[in-house]
Amino acid sequence: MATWSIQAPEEGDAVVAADIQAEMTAGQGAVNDLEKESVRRRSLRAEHVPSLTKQAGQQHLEAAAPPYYVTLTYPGWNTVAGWQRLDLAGGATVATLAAAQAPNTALMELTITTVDFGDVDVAGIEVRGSVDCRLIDDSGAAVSGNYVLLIAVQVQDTTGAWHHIARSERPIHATINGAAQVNNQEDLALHVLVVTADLGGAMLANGIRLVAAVLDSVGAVVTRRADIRYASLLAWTLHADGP
Amino acid sequence: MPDITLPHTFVTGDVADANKVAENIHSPNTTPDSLDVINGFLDRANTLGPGTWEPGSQQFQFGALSDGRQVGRTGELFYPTDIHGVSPDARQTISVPGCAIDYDLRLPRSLLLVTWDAQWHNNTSAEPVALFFKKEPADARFVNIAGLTRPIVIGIGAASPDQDHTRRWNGAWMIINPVVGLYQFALGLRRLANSGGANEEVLSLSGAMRVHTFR
Repeated sequence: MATWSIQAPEEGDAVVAADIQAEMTAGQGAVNDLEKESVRRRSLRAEHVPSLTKQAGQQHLEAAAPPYYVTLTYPGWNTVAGWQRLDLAGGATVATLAAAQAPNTALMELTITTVDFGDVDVAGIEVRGSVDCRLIDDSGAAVSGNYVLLIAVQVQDTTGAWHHIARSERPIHATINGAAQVNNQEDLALHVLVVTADLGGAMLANGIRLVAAVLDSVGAVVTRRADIRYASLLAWTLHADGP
Repeated sequence: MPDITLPHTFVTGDVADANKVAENIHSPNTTPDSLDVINGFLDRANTLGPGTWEPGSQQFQFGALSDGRQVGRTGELFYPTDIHGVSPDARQTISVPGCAIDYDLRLPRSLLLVTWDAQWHNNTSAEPVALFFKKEPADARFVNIAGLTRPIVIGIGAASPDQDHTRRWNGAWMIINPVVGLYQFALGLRRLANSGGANEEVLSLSGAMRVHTFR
């Protein structure tokens, strides 16, 4: 029922209860089931729309005691365990929509209020990360080889389990001819939308983190390490229903 | 619960009680149940619902859901020796053209996201690229956010693998529940205390900066 047309009584008509009921019921139906034609184009403003994000947080770190080394060996594609957490300063910080921004301390992890991926109004969690790799070396040994630093995003469910997002894995390559690659200074950017399938069957997510690992092309050297100086992690949830 | 459930029902033979008629039209109840719902209480439950029809892009004003702008520069910039004087000072900065943006936030938003990407090619000394900006419209000056810096390392002249190496920085910063007002964001260059003063400092640098806002 797109419109509600009132039958105006003529002068002298009796006011009949059933007619009143019919008019009001028509009005009730029109309001309860608004159709497209009932809403004028461009009539809705920001005040009529719920927020797209219910919570957001960010971390920006500079290594407290550089160099900070990533030394764990790449565990293989789509493997959740074996990655190194980026702990440039220690501690943890959470920033939500209701909280003050509190960057500059901590682990590259964000704790978020539980996001229920079983809710059809949840579109996902957008994650944006950035890691600055100053150099990759072989702990000072004079060797040659192709070395790789890998960065990835993992999401935590409410049981505490972390789930690896394979499509987020990104490499920085470095060729070493001697003890170290000098001032590689590569910056790696990640941008991932976390969706239901990333939780491995779980539906409730409450954590996001950046992880890292290193490997070399020949797989023989175990003393490789990547020097990380700066890192950023931002995450915001996307909802259709708003707060 | 904006769906109307009229408080009174009339059937044939009932007295058309004026008070009840009035209550069906307007009852200022906490949970609206009269035709008064149209006075600002309409919400999602009043539409036909998912799969049939809900308000879409045609019904919303431009900019109601999101907004944004971008600036950028693809050219190269060459800075002369000692662009910042002798004394290293955080206030002695120079903005990078293409990486500085003003944004006038006119509507309340839940999130303001600033993203940028910069590329640079250095030939000698170490100058950090740092993000300086006013966090809030009330801020009187640009500030530096710890962690949001990138050093520009030594390049040309050294027989090392980093020679002629182009570096990049894809950065981001968010402001949660930003207040309405004018924001100014910029990537700024400043000199490090240990950067060489006598050497020629030639740096080419380009980039772009974007502001996105979400309702």
